[in-house]
Amino acid sequence: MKKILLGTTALVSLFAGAAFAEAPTVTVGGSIDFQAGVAQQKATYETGANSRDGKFANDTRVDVKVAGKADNGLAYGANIRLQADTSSPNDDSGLNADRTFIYVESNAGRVEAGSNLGVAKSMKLDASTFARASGGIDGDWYRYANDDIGGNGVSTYILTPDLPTDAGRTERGDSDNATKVSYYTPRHNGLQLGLGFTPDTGNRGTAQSFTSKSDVGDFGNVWEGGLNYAGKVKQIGVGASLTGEMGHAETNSSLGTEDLLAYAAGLDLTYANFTLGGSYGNWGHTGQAVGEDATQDYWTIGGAYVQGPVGASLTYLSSRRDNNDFYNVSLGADYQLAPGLIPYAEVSFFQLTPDDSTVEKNKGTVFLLGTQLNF
Amino acid sequence: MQRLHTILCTSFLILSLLSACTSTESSSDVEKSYPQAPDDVRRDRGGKLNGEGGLFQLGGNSKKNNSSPSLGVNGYLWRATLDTIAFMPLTSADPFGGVILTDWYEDPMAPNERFKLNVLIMGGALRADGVKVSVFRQVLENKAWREAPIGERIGRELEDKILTRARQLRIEKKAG
Repeated sequence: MKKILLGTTALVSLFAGAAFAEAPTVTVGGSIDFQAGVAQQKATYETGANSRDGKFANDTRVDVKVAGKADNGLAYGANIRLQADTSSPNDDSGLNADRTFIYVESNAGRVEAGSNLGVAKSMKLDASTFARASGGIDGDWYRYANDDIGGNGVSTYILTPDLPTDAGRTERGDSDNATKVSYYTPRHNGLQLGLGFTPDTGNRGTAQSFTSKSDVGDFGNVWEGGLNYAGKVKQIGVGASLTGEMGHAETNSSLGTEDLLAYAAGLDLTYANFTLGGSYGNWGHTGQAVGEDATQDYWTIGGAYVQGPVGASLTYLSSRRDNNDFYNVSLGADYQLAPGLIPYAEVSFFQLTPDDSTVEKNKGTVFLLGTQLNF
Repeated sequence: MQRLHTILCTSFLILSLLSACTSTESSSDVEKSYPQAPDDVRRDRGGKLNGEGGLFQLGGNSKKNNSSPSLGVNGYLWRATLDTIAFMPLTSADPFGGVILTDWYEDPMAPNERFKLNVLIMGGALRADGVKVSVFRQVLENKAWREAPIGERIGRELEDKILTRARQLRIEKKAG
């Protein structure tokens, strides 16, 4: 009996360590996105870069992905996204790379470390999650519109369904790839957890990027958390998310600045070829002067339909930040002409209403035609 | 507050390092798929010009990253089975009929006992019932090999390991 048990145990144990080392691979790919955009907005704001109604833009990136597997089953690798534009990249950072990080992955989860998007951005669900074309309410409309309304160059609106560290400070999204460490659990029965830490939202990349711990607008010791669920109830696909972030506000102002504390919750439902979804996000008093008590929140709602190579979506975002109101309705469609070749069209109707009643609001329409090539 | 942050950071780093260690095989209701950046998701759903291999690829086994060769059965199950029983000598492997037969194998750690597997891969879908493993066991008695009993559990455990490996291959291929 013992021999039988030993024998069968030995047989199974021979298969138990089924972790096979795989030689590392380096994959080079990327995308090119060409856009033609026409914007109509208040004449007051058709100045500078917004003085021409019709414009062309080209956004190019090269992705280098390294992936390997050790003998003990540990997966590891790196992702490097290089900007390959003939100008400053879209985030106006002037940097050569947008994201660079390494990762390790095992049965216990995945750890990412580097300049990358964090847990709150990657785990959230909202109407932009299923938006087509350039991304609807989280798309490229804003590159053709003047959103510096009454803000003196500082963003005073919540223009995208993001929490503060992903929405950026003076530019859209300029702190969303601050150097950080993130951990994700495997998905157990549809549920996944994420946790991330960023020492300073103003630091990105090498030691050359180190900034003061008292830079107004930056946050220090930022923790991000996320909970994401993906499953099915009867024939309906259900996706839900809850994300949040907290941190210390860096300031050298005698007025003081409220610390970072924000959260967002989202829900997406899919049935047949249709998807409906929405979200609500609240920034609390993040970044406000101590004693200020103005609302900072947003909500989204939208729907999409996909049939074969064609997809269409209608998405809506409404936000308020320190009595600066914003809304955007975006209708978009795309068509997979061939694998990796996707022409698209999108129209967005937006309005920015500043708190200061002496400042004119900006209301307009942005129409985009574009083609994306992924390789 | 600073000390609390230090403690939390240290705990998080320790947790991260521990998570890098492998553990026992996970149950079948665990998926190892991880979030992507929203713009990556948007781009990936349109497909890629050269498939998952990108513009070009260096290193590794390029054959693994191409689309599966023409098989009569599910390519992931086929490859997972070959990976899982790679240490046993094969007598026959029919990729169209989905049948893999091994020769008798005697583990050096367990002499006077040998095993043989018949693996049947059914259909083109990666399904829990898509692979059937039959295990045969013989023991050496009086210098002759004689059939010996073996529990049904062994066959099911081997099927689970093949299915787990097949899912890993599919996730790796999707992850690019």
